[in-house]
Amino acid sequence: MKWPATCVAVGLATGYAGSDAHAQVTLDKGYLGLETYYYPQDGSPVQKHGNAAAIGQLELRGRWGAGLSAKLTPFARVDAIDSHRSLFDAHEAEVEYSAGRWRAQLGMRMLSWSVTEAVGVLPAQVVDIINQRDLAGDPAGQEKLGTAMAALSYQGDNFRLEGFALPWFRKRKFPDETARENPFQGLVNLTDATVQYTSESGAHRLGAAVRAEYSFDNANVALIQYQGYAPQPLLIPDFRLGKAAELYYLIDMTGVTVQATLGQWLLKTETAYFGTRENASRFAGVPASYWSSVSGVEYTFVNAFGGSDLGVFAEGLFDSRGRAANGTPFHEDVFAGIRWVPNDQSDTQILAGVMSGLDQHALVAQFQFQRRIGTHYQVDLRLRTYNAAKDSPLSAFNEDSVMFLKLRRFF
Amino acid sequence: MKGKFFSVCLAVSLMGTALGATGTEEPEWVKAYVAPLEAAHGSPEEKQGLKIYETQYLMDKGWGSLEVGLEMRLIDAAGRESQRRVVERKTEEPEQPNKTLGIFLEPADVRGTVMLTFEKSTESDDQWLFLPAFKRTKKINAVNKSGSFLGTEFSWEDISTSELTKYHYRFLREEGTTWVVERVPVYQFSGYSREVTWVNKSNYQTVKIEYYDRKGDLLKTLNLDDWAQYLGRYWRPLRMEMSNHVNGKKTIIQLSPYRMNAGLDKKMFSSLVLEDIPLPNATEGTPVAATK
Repeated sequence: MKWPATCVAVGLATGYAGSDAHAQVTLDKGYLGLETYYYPQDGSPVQKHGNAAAIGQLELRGRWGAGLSAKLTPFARVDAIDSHRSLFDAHEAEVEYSAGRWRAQLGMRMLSWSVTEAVGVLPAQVVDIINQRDLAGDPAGQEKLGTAMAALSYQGDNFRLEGFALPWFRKRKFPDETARENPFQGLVNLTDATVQYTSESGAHRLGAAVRAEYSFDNANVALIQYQGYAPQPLLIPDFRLGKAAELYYLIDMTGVTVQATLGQWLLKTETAYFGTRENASRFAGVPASYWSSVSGVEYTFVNAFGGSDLGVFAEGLFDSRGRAANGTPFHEDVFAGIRWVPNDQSDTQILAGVMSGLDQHALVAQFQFQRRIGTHYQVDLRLRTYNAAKDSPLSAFNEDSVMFLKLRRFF
Repeated sequence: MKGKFFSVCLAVSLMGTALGATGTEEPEWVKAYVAPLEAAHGSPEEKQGLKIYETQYLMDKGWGSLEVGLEMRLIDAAGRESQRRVVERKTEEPEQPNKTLGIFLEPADVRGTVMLTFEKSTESDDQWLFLPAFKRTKKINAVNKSGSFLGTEFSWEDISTSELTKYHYRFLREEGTTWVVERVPVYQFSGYSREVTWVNKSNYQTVKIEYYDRKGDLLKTLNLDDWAQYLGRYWRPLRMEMSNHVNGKKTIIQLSPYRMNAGLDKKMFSSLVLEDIPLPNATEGTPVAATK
């Protein structure tokens, strides 16, 4: 059941490739690498100190002239310690056809609608709803799964309209009970959870989204309407001991994103209203309608330390569900930090920030470092540490810390 | 709008043929563009410096859109080398600063990154960056034009187009086949206090620039060589060498032959569609051996 859309896309692509002698297929980019998450502190008795995996991705493109092209981006992760992290996914497998201002795309795609920094630290995504998250791959929610869709877009002079039909909803990929940064501390295993949908059509209920983006010289503004399952399920008790069931429920999301520059200031927001479609008496625990937002500013110091860029940013996180928020600790928080780009030969980038709860004690500090080594290698380092009071949803990670290291060779 | 553009092209052609001839009637938009500059350039030396760069500026109007490949060799003080490859596309907007797309090809980890810039002379540019790893287009703060471009000895300020209004000019002296003209950047966050430029008398092209830092010390020297002329009119150097006198580093840019009047699709110069720009073919952006 997992591959129908992929097969269609790849089949179409190979079909076209076979029918036209002038097809041109290129390997645009690819990498092979190693990654590890290491947790120095002890977790619960069943939990491990981390994992280690080999990862790889290829980006292939076929072109057939006259506006027809195809993309195939297979991704693989093979984990030697935590087999539940192993994954083979078609991040992209699509054919696209463009004519003038119109563009049609069919197949698996990867999109990103986020504009803020905080969503890069923890799974606090607001409007970036199209692609499901692979929390086993990255507990902070930065790994995504390809989504099947048929999309049509029209580009005007300073706007773009996109429509999406989403025929196949993918369930969230959760870590198993031995994994760390897991809110259930080894007590609940979600890797073979019962999956329930509030719609009788299950995963094949047709979802839809519309996005309109406007581009001004100083600002980009996008309006988003999504109708379909919420990507984060409600976790409900299962009849099997020690197991939970995932319930995916329907929502209507109306969102807006803004990125604007004002001299040395950058202003950003991603804000959305989530309307629920479900009858609370039938599905207990499904949240009533709510607001969620991440908004902030960044100030850039010019020529800090001789030619480098130093940015200082602060973002506020708000969720009207408050403490009752479905597993999200980010209902009233501030994320503040610095971004340093020295503009050196190795493209070094450093981001350091602290997220802090305003109405309860919960701290997450993160340090990110990325640079190139030589011509072909790139190293990513992330350090994250938690400190949270007992009544915080993050208390399960109290005083946990993690070191993430990724080394990739690009070709 | 179209009619306006044609009249600009016509005006430019006229300017081109009338090169060097004084007393030619200038079209309205040129007058409007140059009038505030002329008013700000009072002394005879300033007027002469401005006139030289005004001629260079007007000669270079009318190429429509262009594409060129840049191969950059970064050489540090110890002689170690690394490389960058970028395909640059530009579109000329009538009576407006240019729009530029930079598509990064090498090193491999940044391949597919796209930078879109709407240039402005006296304030910060409007700039967007498409990051292929995240499939995300970020509006970025382009206040800092003086930082290194891709780790090279060139800053964005050095490689963006020379809008006439970016500088205040002053003629210094004649030197053999060149005029020596000083330019002082107008932009408050420029990395330079002044630039001393050498302009070839025969074709009005800048062949050498000395950059002085904010304290007034010599920072970098740029030499522009291997000149080629396109469409019988537009001069471009195929080799640029920037030497940094403070850190001992050097960057050499070798350019592929330009495609001018390339007929590029102007709607691709938009922050809305950076994700849809296909990677140029492997052969694009590969410079040929320079011809003298």
